Amino acid sequence: MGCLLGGSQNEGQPSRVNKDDKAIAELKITRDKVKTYQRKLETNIEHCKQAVKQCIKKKNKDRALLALRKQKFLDKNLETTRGELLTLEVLINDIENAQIQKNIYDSLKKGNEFLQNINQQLTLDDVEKLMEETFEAVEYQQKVSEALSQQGLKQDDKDLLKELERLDSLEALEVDLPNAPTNKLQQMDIEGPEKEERKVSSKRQQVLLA
Amino acid sequence: MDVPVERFLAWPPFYTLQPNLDTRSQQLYLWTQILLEYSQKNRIYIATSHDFHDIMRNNEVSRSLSEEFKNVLFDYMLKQKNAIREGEAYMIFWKKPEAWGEQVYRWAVDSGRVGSVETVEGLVSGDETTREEFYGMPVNYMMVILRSLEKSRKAELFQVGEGMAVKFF
Repeated sequence: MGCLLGGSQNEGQPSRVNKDDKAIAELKITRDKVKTYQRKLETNIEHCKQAVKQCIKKKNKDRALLALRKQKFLDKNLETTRGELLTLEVLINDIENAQIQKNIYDSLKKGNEFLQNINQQLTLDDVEKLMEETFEAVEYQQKVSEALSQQGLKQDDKDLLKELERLDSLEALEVDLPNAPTNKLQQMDIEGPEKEERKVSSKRQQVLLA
Repeated sequence: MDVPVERFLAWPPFYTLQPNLDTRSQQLYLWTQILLEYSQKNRIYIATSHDFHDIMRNNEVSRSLSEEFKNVLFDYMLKQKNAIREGEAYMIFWKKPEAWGEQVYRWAVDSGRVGSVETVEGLVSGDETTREEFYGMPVNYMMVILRSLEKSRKAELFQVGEGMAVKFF
Protein backbone atom coordinates (compact mmCIF):
# COMPACT_ATOMS: atom_id res chain seq x y z
CA MET A 1 0.00 0.00 0.00
CA GLY A 2 2.88 2.30 0.85
CA CYS A 3 4.06 2.56 -2.73
CA LEU A 4 0.52 3.17 -3.93
CA LEU A 5 -0.02 6.09 -1.61
CA GLY A 6 3.47 7.45 -2.21
CA GLY A 7 4.43 10.80 -3.74
CA SER A 8 1.60 12.32 -5.68
CA GLN A 9 3.83 14.11 -8.15
CA ASN A 10 4.69 12.35 -11.35
CA GLU A 11 8.42 12.03 -12.05
CA GLY A 12 9.41 15.38 -10.62
CA GLN A 13 6.95 17.38 -12.67
CA PRO A 14 5.32 20.24 -10.79
CA SER A 15 1.94 19.47 -9.31
CA ARG A 16 -1.06 20.76 -11.21
CA VAL A 17 -3.23 20.61 -8.12
CA ASN A 18 -3.81 23.97 -6.46
CA LYS A 19 -5.17 25.18 -3.14
CA ASP A 20 -8.72 25.43 -4.44
CA ASP A 21 -8.62 21.83 -5.66
CA LYS A 22 -7.57 20.69 -2.21
CA ALA A 23 -10.37 22.66 -0.55
CA ILE A 24 -12.97 21.10 -2.86
CA ALA A 25 -11.45 17.66 -2.34
CA GLU A 26 -11.75 18.12 1.39
CA LEU A 27 -15.44 18.94 1.08
CA LYS A 28 -16.02 15.97 -1.19
CA ILE A 29 -14.20 13.64 1.20
CA THR A 30 -16.47 14.89 3.98
CA ARG A 31 -19.43 14.22 1.68
CA ASP A 32 -18.17 10.65 1.16
CA LYS A 33 -17.88 10.17 4.90
CA VAL A 34 -21.41 11.42 5.49
CA LYS A 35 -22.62 9.02 2.78
CA THR A 36 -20.81 6.12 4.42
CA TYR A 37 -22.34 7.09 7.76
CA GLN A 38 -25.73 7.21 6.07
CA ARG A 39 -25.27 3.68 4.74
CA LYS A 40 -24.31 2.53 8.22
CA LEU A 41 -27.44 4.13 9.68
CA GLU A 42 -29.59 2.53 7.02
CA THR A 43 -28.29 -0.97 7.80
CA ASN A 44 -28.69 -0.34 11.52
CA ILE A 45 -32.28 0.76 10.99
CA GLU A 46 -32.92 -2.36 8.94
CA HIS A 47 -31.50 -4.51 11.76
CA CYS A 48 -33.74 -2.72 14.28
CA LYS A 49 -36.81 -3.35 12.15
CA GLN A 50 -35.97 -7.06 12.00
CA ALA A 51 -35.41 -7.11 15.76
CA VAL A 52 -38.78 -5.45 16.41
CA LYS A 53 -40.51 -8.06 14.24
CA GLN A 54 -38.80 -10.95 15.95
CA CYS A 55 -39.52 -9.61 19.44
CA ILE A 56 -43.20 -9.22 18.53
CA LYS A 57 -43.23 -12.81 17.25
CA LYS A 58 -41.66 -13.99 20.52
CA LYS A 59 -44.20 -11.83 22.37
CA ASN A 60 -41.37 -10.04 24.15
CA LYS A 61 -43.05 -6.64 24.44
CA ASP A 62 -40.34 -4.86 26.43
CA ARG A 63 -37.57 -5.81 23.98
CA ALA A 64 -39.79 -4.90 21.07
CA LEU A 65 -40.43 -1.46 22.51
CA LEU A 66 -36.76 -0.94 23.16
CA ALA A 67 -35.84 -1.89 19.62
CA LEU A 68 -38.58 0.34 18.26
CA ARG A 69 -37.33 3.26 20.35
CA LYS A 70 -33.83 2.72 18.98
CA GLN A 71 -35.18 2.56 15.46
CA LYS A 72 -37.03 5.87 15.84
CA PHE A 73 -33.92 7.49 17.22
CA LEU A 74 -31.87 6.23 14.27
CA ASP A 75 -34.57 7.38 11.83
CA LYS A 76 -34.30 10.89 13.20
CA ASN A 77 -30.54 10.69 12.94
CA LEU A 78 -30.78 9.63 9.31
CA GLU A 79 -33.12 12.50 8.54
CA THR A 80 -30.64 15.00 9.99
CA THR A 81 -27.80 13.41 8.04
CA ARG A 82 -29.75 13.69 4.80
CA GLY A 83 -30.18 17.41 5.39
CA GLU A 84 -26.50 17.83 6.12
CA LEU A 85 -25.56 15.93 3.00
CA LEU A 86 -27.74 18.19 0.89
CA THR A 87 -26.14 21.29 2.45
CA LEU A 88 -22.70 19.90 1.60
CA GLU A 89 -23.66 19.06 -1.95
CA VAL A 90 -25.16 22.51 -2.52
CA LEU A 91 -21.99 24.10 -1.19
CA ILE A 92 -19.77 21.95 -3.43
CA ASN A 93 -21.94 22.85 -6.40
CA ASP A 94 -21.77 26.56 -5.57
CA ILE A 95 -18.01 26.47 -5.27
CA GLU A 96 -17.56 24.70 -8.60
CA ASN A 97 -19.90 27.19 -10.17
CA ALA A 98 -17.99 30.12 -8.67
CA GLN A 99 -14.75 28.61 -9.98
CA ILE A 100 -16.11 28.59 -13.51
CA GLN A 101 -17.25 32.19 -13.14
CA LYS A 102 -13.81 33.17 -11.96
CA ASN A 103 -12.31 31.41 -14.99
CA ILE A 104 -14.61 33.39 -17.26
CA TYR A 105 -13.70 36.63 -15.51
CA ASP A 106 -9.97 35.87 -15.81
CA SER A 107 -10.31 35.09 -19.51
CA LEU A 108 -12.27 38.26 -20.18
CA LYS A 109 -9.71 40.28 -18.26
CA LYS A 110 -6.84 38.79 -20.23
CA GLY A 111 -8.67 39.35 -23.50
CA ASN A 112 -9.34 42.96 -22.59
CA GLU A 113 -5.71 43.56 -21.66
CA PHE A 114 -4.60 42.02 -24.93
CA LEU A 115 -6.96 44.23 -26.92
CA GLN A 116 -5.73 47.35 -25.14
CA ASN A 117 -2.16 46.29 -25.73
CA ILE A 118 -2.80 45.98 -29.45
CA ASN A 119 -4.57 49.33 -29.55
CA GLN A 120 -1.64 51.00 -27.83
CA GLN A 121 0.70 49.78 -30.53
CA LEU A 122 -1.59 51.35 -33.10
CA THR A 123 -1.86 55.16 -32.53
CA LEU A 124 -4.06 57.22 -34.82
CA ASP A 125 -1.11 59.46 -35.83
CA ASP A 126 0.82 56.41 -36.93
CA VAL A 127 -2.07 55.15 -38.97
CA GLU A 128 -2.55 58.55 -40.65
CA LYS A 129 1.13 58.79 -41.43
CA LEU A 130 1.13 55.29 -42.79
CA MET A 131 -1.88 56.03 -45.01
CA GLU A 132 -0.23 59.21 -46.31
CA GLU A 133 2.93 57.31 -47.13
CA THR A 134 0.95 54.62 -48.82
CA PHE A 135 -0.86 57.23 -50.93
CA GLU A 136 2.45 58.78 -51.96
CA ALA A 137 3.84 55.40 -52.80
CA VAL A 138 0.82 54.60 -54.94
CA GLU A 139 1.11 57.92 -56.72
CA TYR A 140 4.79 57.35 -57.39
CA GLN A 141 4.04 53.89 -58.65
CA GLN A 142 1.49 55.29 -61.06
CA LYS A 143 3.99 57.80 -62.40
CA VAL A 144 6.56 55.10 -62.94
CA SER A 145 4.00 52.96 -64.65
CA GLU A 146 2.93 55.82 -66.93
CA ALA A 147 6.50 56.59 -67.87
CA LEU A 148 7.12 52.99 -68.74
CA SER A 149 3.95 52.60 -70.77
CA GLN A 150 4.68 55.69 -72.90
CA GLN A 151 8.01 54.30 -73.91
CA GLY A 152 6.25 51.10 -74.73
CA LEU A 153 3.86 52.95 -77.07
CA LYS A 154 6.70 54.46 -79.09
CA GLN A 155 8.17 51.05 -79.52
CA ASP A 156 4.76 49.74 -80.59
CA ASP A 157 4.30 52.61 -83.05
CA LYS A 158 7.38 51.65 -85.01
CA ASP A 159 6.12 48.11 -85.36
CA LEU A 160 2.66 49.27 -86.29
CA LEU A 161 3.95 51.59 -89.01
CA LYS A 162 5.90 48.79 -90.55
CA GLU A 163 2.85 46.55 -90.54
CA LEU A 164 0.76 49.29 -92.13
CA GLU A 165 3.25 49.77 -94.94
CA ARG A 166 3.22 46.07 -95.63
CA LEU A 167 -0.58 45.93 -95.79
CA ASP A 168 -0.65 49.02 -98.02
CA SER A 169 1.59 47.42 -100.60
CA LEU A 170 -0.56 44.31 -100.61
CA GLU A 171 -3.69 46.42 -101.16
CA ALA A 172 -2.17 48.02 -104.26
CA LEU A 173 -1.91 44.65 -105.95
CA GLU A 174 -5.63 43.83 -105.62
CA VAL A 175 -8.19 44.68 -108.40
CA ASP A 176 -10.77 47.36 -107.63
CA LEU A 177 -14.14 45.82 -106.88
CA PRO A 178 -17.46 47.70 -107.50
CA ASN A 179 -18.86 49.50 -104.52
CA ALA A 180 -21.75 47.97 -102.64
CA PRO A 181 -25.09 49.83 -103.16
CA THR A 182 -25.66 52.53 -100.57
CA ASN A 183 -29.39 53.33 -101.14
CA LYS A 184 -31.94 52.03 -98.63
CA LEU A 185 -34.23 49.16 -99.52
CA GLN A 186 -37.95 49.99 -99.60
CA GLN A 187 -39.70 48.21 -96.76
CA MET A 188 -43.12 48.16 -98.48
CA ASP A 189 -41.68 45.97 -101.19
CA ILE A 190 -40.74 43.29 -98.71
CA GLU A 191 -43.99 43.23 -96.77
CA GLY A 192 -46.28 43.66 -99.78
CA PRO A 193 -46.51 40.14 -101.18
CA GLU A 194 -46.84 38.66 -97.72
CA LYS A 195 -49.88 40.75 -96.87
CA GLU A 196 -51.51 39.82 -100.15
CA GLU A 197 -50.92 36.18 -99.47
CA ARG A 198 -52.65 36.52 -96.09
CA LYS A 199 -55.63 38.13 -97.73
CA VAL A 200 -55.83 35.23 -100.16
CA SER A 201 -55.69 32.62 -97.43
CA SER A 202 -58.43 34.31 -95.41
CA LYS A 203 -60.57 34.44 -98.51
CA ARG A 204 -59.92 30.78 -99.04
CA GLN A 205 -61.02 30.02 -95.51
CA GLN A 206 -64.26 31.95 -96.06
CA VAL A 207 -64.93 29.89 -99.17
CA LEU A 208 -64.29 26.65 -97.31
CA LEU A 209 -66.60 27.65 -94.47
CA ALA A 210 -69.41 28.66 -96.79
CA MET B 1 -7.54 -21.58 -28.37
CA ASP B 2 -10.11 -23.44 -30.40
CA VAL B 3 -10.82 -25.98 -27.69
CA PRO B 4 -13.36 -24.63 -25.19
CA VAL B 5 -12.06 -24.19 -21.67
CA GLU B 6 -14.72 -26.53 -20.26
CA ARG B 7 -12.99 -29.42 -22.03
CA PHE B 8 -9.75 -28.66 -20.20
CA LEU B 9 -11.53 -28.34 -16.87
CA ALA B 10 -12.88 -31.87 -17.33
CA TRP B 11 -9.48 -33.27 -18.22
CA PRO B 12 -7.60 -34.69 -15.17
CA PRO B 13 -4.00 -33.87 -16.29
CA PHE B 14 -5.00 -30.22 -16.48
CA TYR B 15 -4.90 -30.15 -12.66
CA THR B 16 -1.33 -31.45 -12.41
CA LEU B 17 1.61 -29.17 -13.07
CA GLN B 18 3.16 -30.40 -16.31
CA PRO B 19 6.90 -31.16 -16.27
CA ASN B 20 7.49 -30.18 -19.89
CA LEU B 21 8.16 -26.44 -19.88
CA ASP B 22 6.29 -25.64 -23.09
CA THR B 23 3.27 -27.61 -21.98
CA ARG B 24 3.46 -26.01 -18.57
CA SER B 25 3.57 -22.53 -20.00
CA GLN B 26 0.52 -23.30 -22.14
CA GLN B 27 -1.20 -24.80 -19.11
CA LEU B 28 -0.48 -21.71 -16.98
CA TYR B 29 -1.71 -19.44 -19.74
CA LEU B 30 -4.99 -21.35 -19.90
CA TRP B 31 -5.44 -21.35 -16.14
CA THR B 32 -4.82 -17.60 -16.10
CA GLN B 33 -7.52 -17.06 -18.71
CA ILE B 34 -9.90 -19.18 -16.63
CA LEU B 35 -9.21 -17.22 -13.43
CA LEU B 36 -9.51 -13.87 -15.20
CA GLU B 37 -12.82 -14.79 -16.75
CA TYR B 38 -14.07 -16.11 -13.42
CA SER B 39 -12.98 -12.91 -11.67
CA GLN B 40 -14.67 -10.72 -14.24
CA LYS B 41 -17.91 -12.69 -14.05
CA ASN B 42 -17.99 -12.65 -10.25
CA ARG B 43 -16.49 -9.16 -9.87
CA ILE B 44 -13.56 -10.44 -7.85
CA TYR B 45 -11.11 -7.52 -7.62
CA ILE B 46 -8.97 -8.62 -4.73
CA ALA B 47 -8.60 -12.31 -4.03
CA THR B 48 -6.68 -15.06 -2.34
CA SER B 49 -6.60 -18.59 -3.74
CA HIS B 50 -9.62 -19.33 -1.52
CA ASP B 51 -11.77 -17.17 -3.75
CA PHE B 52 -11.00 -19.53 -6.62
CA HIS B 53 -11.71 -22.65 -4.62
CA ASP B 54 -14.74 -23.60 -6.71
CA ILE B 55 -13.05 -23.31 -10.05
CA MET B 56 -9.72 -24.85 -8.96
CA ARG B 57 -11.35 -28.14 -8.05
CA ASN B 58 -13.36 -30.61 -10.08
CA ASN B 59 -15.12 -33.27 -8.02
CA GLU B 60 -16.28 -35.14 -11.08
CA VAL B 61 -12.73 -36.10 -11.95
CA SER B 62 -11.57 -35.88 -8.30
CA ARG B 63 -8.91 -33.32 -9.04
CA SER B 64 -7.86 -30.01 -7.52
CA LEU B 65 -4.87 -27.73 -7.80
CA SER B 66 -2.09 -28.37 -5.32
CA GLU B 67 -0.73 -25.52 -3.18
CA GLU B 68 2.44 -25.66 -5.23
CA PHE B 69 0.47 -25.34 -8.45
CA LYS B 70 -1.44 -22.35 -7.05
CA ASN B 71 1.80 -20.61 -6.10
CA VAL B 72 3.30 -21.20 -9.54
CA LEU B 73 0.10 -19.97 -11.13
CA PHE B 74 -0.04 -16.75 -9.11
CA ASP B 75 3.63 -16.11 -9.80
CA TYR B 76 2.90 -16.51 -13.48
CA MET B 77 -0.01 -14.06 -13.21
CA LEU B 78 2.18 -11.54 -11.40
CA LYS B 79 4.76 -11.81 -14.18
CA GLN B 80 2.09 -11.36 -16.86
CA LYS B 81 0.82 -8.28 -14.96
CA ASN B 82 -2.62 -9.84 -14.61
CA ALA B 83 -2.20 -9.70 -10.86
CA ILE B 84 -0.59 -7.34 -8.35
CA ARG B 85 0.32 -8.29 -4.82
CA GLU B 86 -1.85 -6.71 -2.15
CA GLY B 87 -0.53 -7.93 1.19
CA GLU B 88 -1.43 -11.59 1.40
CA ALA B 89 -3.93 -11.25 -1.42
CA TYR B 90 -3.77 -10.38 -5.10
CA MET B 91 -5.47 -7.70 -7.12
CA ILE B 92 -6.75 -9.43 -10.22
CA PHE B 93 -6.69 -7.43 -13.44
CA TRP B 94 -8.77 -9.07 -16.15
CA LYS B 95 -8.41 -5.74 -17.86
CA LYS B 96 -5.03 -4.01 -17.69
CA PRO B 97 -4.91 -0.91 -15.46
CA GLU B 98 -4.17 1.20 -18.57
CA ALA B 99 -7.36 -0.02 -20.26
CA TRP B 100 -9.36 0.69 -17.11
CA GLY B 101 -7.67 4.07 -16.94
CA GLU B 102 -8.88 4.97 -20.40
CA GLN B 103 -12.39 3.97 -19.39
CA VAL B 104 -12.32 6.14 -16.28
CA TYR B 105 -10.88 9.02 -18.28
CA ARG B 106 -13.58 8.65 -20.93
CA TRP B 107 -16.19 8.92 -18.18
CA ALA B 108 -14.44 12.08 -16.91
CA VAL B 109 -14.52 13.61 -20.39
CA ASP B 110 -18.11 12.59 -21.12
CA SER B 111 -19.41 13.89 -17.81
CA GLY B 112 -17.42 17.11 -17.93
CA ARG B 113 -15.05 16.25 -15.08
CA VAL B 114 -11.86 17.27 -16.83
CA GLY B 115 -10.33 20.06 -14.75
CA SER B 116 -12.33 19.22 -11.67
CA VAL B 117 -11.61 17.25 -8.53
CA GLU B 118 -13.20 13.96 -7.51
CA THR B 119 -12.57 11.72 -4.55
CA VAL B 120 -11.42 8.18 -5.30
CA GLU B 121 -14.16 6.94 -3.01
CA GLY B 122 -16.69 8.97 -4.97
CA LEU B 123 -15.53 7.39 -8.24
CA VAL B 124 -16.20 3.86 -7.07
CA SER B 125 -19.27 4.45 -4.91
CA GLY B 126 -20.70 7.85 -5.81
CA ASP B 127 -24.04 8.63 -7.42
CA GLU B 128 -22.44 9.75 -10.68
CA THR B 129 -20.78 6.46 -11.59
CA THR B 130 -23.45 3.90 -10.79
CA ARG B 131 -23.79 2.96 -14.44
CA GLU B 132 -20.05 2.62 -15.04
CA GLU B 133 -18.24 -0.69 -15.20
CA PHE B 134 -15.78 0.51 -12.57
CA TYR B 135 -18.52 1.23 -10.06
CA GLY B 136 -18.07 -0.90 -6.94
CA MET B 137 -14.32 -1.36 -7.24
CA PRO B 138 -12.28 -1.26 -4.06
CA VAL B 139 -10.59 2.11 -3.52
CA ASN B 140 -7.04 0.74 -3.64
CA TYR B 141 -7.81 -1.10 -6.89
CA MET B 142 -9.01 2.16 -8.39
CA MET B 143 -5.81 3.78 -7.10
CA VAL B 144 -3.71 1.44 -9.28
CA ILE B 145 -5.80 2.47 -12.28
CA LEU B 146 -5.49 6.17 -11.50
CA ARG B 147 -1.73 5.81 -11.08
CA SER B 148 -1.54 4.46 -14.61
CA LEU B 149 -3.60 7.43 -15.79
CA GLU B 150 -1.21 9.68 -13.92
CA LYS B 151 1.67 8.29 -16.00
CA SER B 152 -0.02 9.56 -19.14
CA ARG B 153 -0.54 12.95 -17.42
CA LYS B 154 -4.32 12.71 -17.66
CA ALA B 155 -4.81 12.69 -13.92
CA GLU B 156 -3.09 13.64 -10.72
CA LEU B 157 -3.69 11.97 -7.38
CA PHE B 158 -3.32 13.79 -4.09
CA GLN B 159 -4.02 13.13 -0.48
CA VAL B 160 -6.33 15.29 1.60
CA GLY B 161 -6.58 14.29 5.23
CA GLU B 162 -7.40 10.60 5.26
CA GLY B 163 -8.84 10.48 1.78
CA MET B 164 -7.44 10.45 -1.71
CA ALA B 165 -8.63 12.72 -4.45
CA VAL B 166 -7.93 12.94 -8.14
CA LYS B 167 -7.93 15.79 -10.60
CA PHE B 168 -8.44 15.04 -14.30
CA PHE B 169 -6.64 16.94 -17.03
